[in-house]
Amino acid sequence: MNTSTIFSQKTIIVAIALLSSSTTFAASCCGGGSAGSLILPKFGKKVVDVSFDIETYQGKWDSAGKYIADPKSDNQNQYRLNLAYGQRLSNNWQAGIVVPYVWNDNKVSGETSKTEGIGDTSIHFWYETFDRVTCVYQVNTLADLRPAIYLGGSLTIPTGSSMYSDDVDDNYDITGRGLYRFDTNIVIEKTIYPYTATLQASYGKYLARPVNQEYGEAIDPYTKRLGDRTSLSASLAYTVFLEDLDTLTFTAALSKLSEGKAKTANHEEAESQFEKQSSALSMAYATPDLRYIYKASWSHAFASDNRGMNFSVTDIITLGVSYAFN
Amino acid sequence: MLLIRRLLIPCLAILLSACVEDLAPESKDIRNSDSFKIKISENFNITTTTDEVISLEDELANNDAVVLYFTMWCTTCGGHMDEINYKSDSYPNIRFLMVDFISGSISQAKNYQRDNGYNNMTTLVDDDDILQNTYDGKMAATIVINNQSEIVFNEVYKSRLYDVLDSLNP
Repeated sequence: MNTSTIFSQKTIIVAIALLSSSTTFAASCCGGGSAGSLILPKFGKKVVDVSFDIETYQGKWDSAGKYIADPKSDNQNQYRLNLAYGQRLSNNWQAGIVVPYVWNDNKVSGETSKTEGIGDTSIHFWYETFDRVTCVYQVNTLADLRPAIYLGGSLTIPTGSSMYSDDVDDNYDITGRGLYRFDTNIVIEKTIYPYTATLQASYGKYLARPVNQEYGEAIDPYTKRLGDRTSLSASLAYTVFLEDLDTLTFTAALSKLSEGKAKTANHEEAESQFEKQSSALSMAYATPDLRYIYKASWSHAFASDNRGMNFSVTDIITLGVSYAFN
Repeated sequence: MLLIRRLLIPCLAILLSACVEDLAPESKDIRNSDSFKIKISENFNITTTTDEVISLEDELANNDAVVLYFTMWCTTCGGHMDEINYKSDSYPNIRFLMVDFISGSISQAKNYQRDNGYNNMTTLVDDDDILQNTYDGKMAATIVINNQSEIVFNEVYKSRLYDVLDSLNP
């Protein structure tokens, strides 16, 4: 077994990064900290967000949904540095960009490998359907129940190196999926202090692409399109106001991610569909002026049967900070 | 303008450092003339996880073709193997052999095979990299060798494998 072969095991963990966007950002139209997409609070103009993911492979679900634990002798990890920038474009429009940098660190069958590279970049736009902050301290009228609704679109750009690139000799070079994807997103959020409930949903479609090589080897060209992606998440947060009006927000979330069957040429690839169910706990500290938000989260995929299919089971710890400025 | 400039500069930097094949993929056939030449597979004798020695010549003498699938026992490979397992019933004259090219030993390969629930699939242990070097095997590489010892398919697993098998097994 040569070294490059064993390194290719990291495809498992690379796939995780490419499939599960775990980046934790500041959120809430009120400016508090919770998990979600990079969304500026209503009064925010610009934000820079830096987060670091530590993802550990725990096993997988097979195609029948059975959980299979990773052998204890193996140790597969991926680290991601996510750099994000958000900008308000107008009262109700905002845009942002997220660029991940990926490190793979694996030990499989006694062999170790370490590789790194830029991942797939995403650009997003959000439209806020509300003109004023919708957070309230108590409900006096029906209007106080109005939630904050964000409608968005995001484009994933294959800036990483995929198995279809000519600079990839083996799987250990892979840092991206190699296809563009467009997602439509909705976030519905309501805060009645100290509680915040959030629902997020997204539906994504990959653009078909021609493929004329795999791992640097020229092949009979074909067209590939990955399956449609659906993501759902529900969360509940509790905010504690500290002495100086700084806040500490605790969030619990449940998520489900699924992707349909890919197509190559005229064939459906039945084994390519997957599903993942996970939970997450996060904590965010926001300074009184809401300029800085420090975040920590733990995402845990359910390591039991029928909680996923054809997908890796991982834990993700995320640490991050965002800085809002004018 | 300032906003556009601020966003444009990092975007351009990322795009310039990115892989062009993924950003602007082409459908052009880039295979060279050697790719179209029929390659003949040499014989091999490889031990399985059940300590049986499999010979390519023997398998080809008794079947229309041999399919080799390079597995790392990962999530992706598992999906492929489930499908191969299911579909192999439709090809009784074709021999499907999994190739463990990562374990490095028969005992470790046995463990992976058992833990992942694939004891029913004949698995070759390529602990000396013979198959990997012969077929340039990588994760999910799928090789079809017909009974003339010709390598008629060598790509990452995908459904068009079965078009090739159908053409061998009309």
